[in-house]
Amino acid sequence: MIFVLIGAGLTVVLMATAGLVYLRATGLDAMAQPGALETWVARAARRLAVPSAIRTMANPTPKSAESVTDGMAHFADHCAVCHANDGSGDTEMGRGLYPKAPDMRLDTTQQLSDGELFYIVEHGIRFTGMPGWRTGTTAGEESSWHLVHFIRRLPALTPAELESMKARNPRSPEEIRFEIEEERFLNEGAQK
Amino acid sequence: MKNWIVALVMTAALVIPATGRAHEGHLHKALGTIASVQGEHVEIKTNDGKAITVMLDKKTTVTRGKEKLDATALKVGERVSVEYMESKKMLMAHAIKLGMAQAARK
Repeated sequence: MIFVLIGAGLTVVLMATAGLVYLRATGLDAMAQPGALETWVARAARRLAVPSAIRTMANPTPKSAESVTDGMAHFADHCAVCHANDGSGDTEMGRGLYPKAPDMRLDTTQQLSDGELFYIVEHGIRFTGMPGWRTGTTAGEESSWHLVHFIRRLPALTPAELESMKARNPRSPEEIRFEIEEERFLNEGAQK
Repeated sequence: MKNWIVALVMTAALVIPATGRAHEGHLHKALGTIASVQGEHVEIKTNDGKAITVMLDKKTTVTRGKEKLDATALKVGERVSVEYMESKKMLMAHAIKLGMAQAARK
């Protein structure tokens, strides 16, 4: 019995020490890159967290021009601020997150099942910058499945599609003012 | 003892890579006129009277309207809108849009 108590005590001390070392060494700085082990553990945990019934689900909404376009509009409006229109994650927000917004065009995202992508969109991922978007409505679920169709399209987006997404990106009043001033300034010389 | 060593190694593996930091600044935008071009350095006199020097790299895009150009299109006197980010005490140009004047004269 005494050995069990000593073992439990040592475990608690070890975990507290490890936690303290982690806090002091990282300062919980979000600009850092997660290590390989942490990334592996987090991805394994995420996979385990998705119920197997959902993980094995295929996208129930038919893939069509309309569903992909709907997903594209949704992505540009809600997701691109972190993930970028092209899914690269190369945005001010995406680069500042811990972990960084992933390059969704790569296998680490594209090899996730439809169900896993849907689950992540709907529920988000704790301890990351990924929020959950679940509304609990059929329309909301359909919208998330359309987003899954669009995520599959990310590696092959055309320049024209990227251009059309720009118009749907949320902008602050300051950004809108700059765009108006920019257009006037860049076109002014041509009109003389 | 063995468990302690394993725990310490695991903790170190979690902590050490996380200390390699990637410092990136904020994205800025400016309007102005090219004052000089020297290799990868482009000096721009901004509309609010400041002079900034941005550095080009392989990722920098140069466009005029919808036309994609390369860095040779950057000429002194061109009106530009530049999007840049401070990185390692340098202003790295992400995107440079050229005014339509040059195209209109062609």
